Amino acid sequence: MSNSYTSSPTLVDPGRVTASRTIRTTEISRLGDLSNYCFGTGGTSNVLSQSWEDSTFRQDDSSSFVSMCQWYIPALSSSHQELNIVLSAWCPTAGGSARFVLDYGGGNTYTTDITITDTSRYSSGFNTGTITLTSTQNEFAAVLTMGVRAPVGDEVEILSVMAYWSSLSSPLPTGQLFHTLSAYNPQGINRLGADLPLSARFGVEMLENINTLRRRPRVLFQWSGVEGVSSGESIADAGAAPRAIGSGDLASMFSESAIFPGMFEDSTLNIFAYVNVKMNGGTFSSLSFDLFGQRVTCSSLGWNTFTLTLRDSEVPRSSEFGLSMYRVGPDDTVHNTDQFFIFGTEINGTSSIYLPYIAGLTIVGV
Amino acid sequence: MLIPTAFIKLPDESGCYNGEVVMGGTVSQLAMGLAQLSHCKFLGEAHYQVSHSTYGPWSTIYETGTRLHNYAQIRSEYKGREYNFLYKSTALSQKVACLFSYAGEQGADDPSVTIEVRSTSSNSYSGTVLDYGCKFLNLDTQGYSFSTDSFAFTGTTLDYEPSNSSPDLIVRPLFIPSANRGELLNIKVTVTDVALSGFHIYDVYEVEVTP
Repeated sequence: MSNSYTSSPTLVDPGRVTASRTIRTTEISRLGDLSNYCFGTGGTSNVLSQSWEDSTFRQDDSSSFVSMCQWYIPALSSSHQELNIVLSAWCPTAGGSARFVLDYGGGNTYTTDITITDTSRYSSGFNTGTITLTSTQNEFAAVLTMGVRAPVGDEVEILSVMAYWSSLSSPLPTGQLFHTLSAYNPQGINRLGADLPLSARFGVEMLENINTLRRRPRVLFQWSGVEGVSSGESIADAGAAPRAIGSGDLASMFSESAIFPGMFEDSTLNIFAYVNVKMNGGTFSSLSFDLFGQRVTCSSLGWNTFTLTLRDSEVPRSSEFGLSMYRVGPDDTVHNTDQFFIFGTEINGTSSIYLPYIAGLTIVGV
Repeated sequence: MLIPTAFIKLPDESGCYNGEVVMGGTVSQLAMGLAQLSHCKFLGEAHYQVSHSTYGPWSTIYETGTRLHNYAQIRSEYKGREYNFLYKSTALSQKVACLFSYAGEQGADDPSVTIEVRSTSSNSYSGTVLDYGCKFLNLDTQGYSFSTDSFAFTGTTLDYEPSNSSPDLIVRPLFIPSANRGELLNIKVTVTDVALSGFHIYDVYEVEVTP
């Protein structure tokens, strides 16, 4: 009994399942195939995408890895255990590298190091690494940290970083599979063939499978500030990467992304926001800002998590995509303009004033 | 079949129990629910924010803002830059739409952006060109260095398999050959007098698919 799937996926002909037509095993078999395809491959596009302009993100003379960026990475299921990381970077001499640590909490961390081989900007090729989970993790998301190490006397420049989960190959593993508390039952295609009964099990499991897949997260927005940037070049030429979201970002720092209905019908379908708040001195009380039509208040430093509902209106480009598209990111409001109007001197404290700032923002939807 | 974008109410579980007659409506609801997942929700997408140097015109590092304003400037070096945005496509990535935010150099004659798609064999930026793509001409320029970014979009309509050997001057989505769907792809972007601040990549949703 093989839990196989076909790629590209096969669909069920809706004309074959209307009244007065015999339900053929072809349709049932295709449902099982399509369900397995969705579990194995759904959401394996980019879960992390961020880029920096030329001479922006640099690190020099570091004998050890300097922790510079953090993102929240949602898990697709406990069976998806390979996170592929693709790094576009360059270093004029050998010895530049980056370390990626995926932290599930409780001491469950997984690491990969990537050696940088390009010697000038987009010279020849990018570098890759794979984080392989060696034990089953059933968390909804984990924190990915990027550290950068430069060779003595030289600099590393990061141009972009992206990541994606590997698809599960066909056939899927046997037995029940999980995404946090939701179960998925792989469908044995041979059991759905001709001359075999259409069992009650198939219908019940298929309902559970669809509900589980509806809860599978998609990354709608991803951004991290850069900490610990350092450059031996003059500051006009390098090393002034943004650490915080600023008021000038509000007009265009967002993505337009489809969000699929069901949030009102199914209370388990939500949008989650992960906000990394930092403050380098002084006493922190709270930081509030408007996000996706709601005001959220971060009451602690570090990562804050929020569950958001769908309140905003669709963007006009919905008609071009044929989907319900929404603006996903910090809202362009007067409140946010006030909250994000801070200077570097209020981040690093050289003005003797410390203000809290947003050093990372991940928005995950369904 | 029509691919639903809306929430599909699933049949009641008791309708699938032993002794129940399986109706076409039950199977149809399951089929629509799965099609919404495979051909709609799980279409690929990537959202790149392009952060810029926060070095200001008065030798100040603001450390805030990833954009081109907050008094940061479009530097002259950006006039002919190349970007490579990597995109993990899906088996359904036949047409790929691109949306980007940008600022054109103040006073430039003809700011432009060219988009093409390449394979990433051997992790190379200069892999085989899969689609020579298109060129955006006469993009907006900024009145001030701190003006709000502009947006440009390829659209989602492409009714043919392109065979151009240089960028089309009519903007359109990129076409991914069937052999390359599901692979890691390089969306190569070349700019003239333009600085990018965001680049977004989408699999195009198809309203109707032949089963």
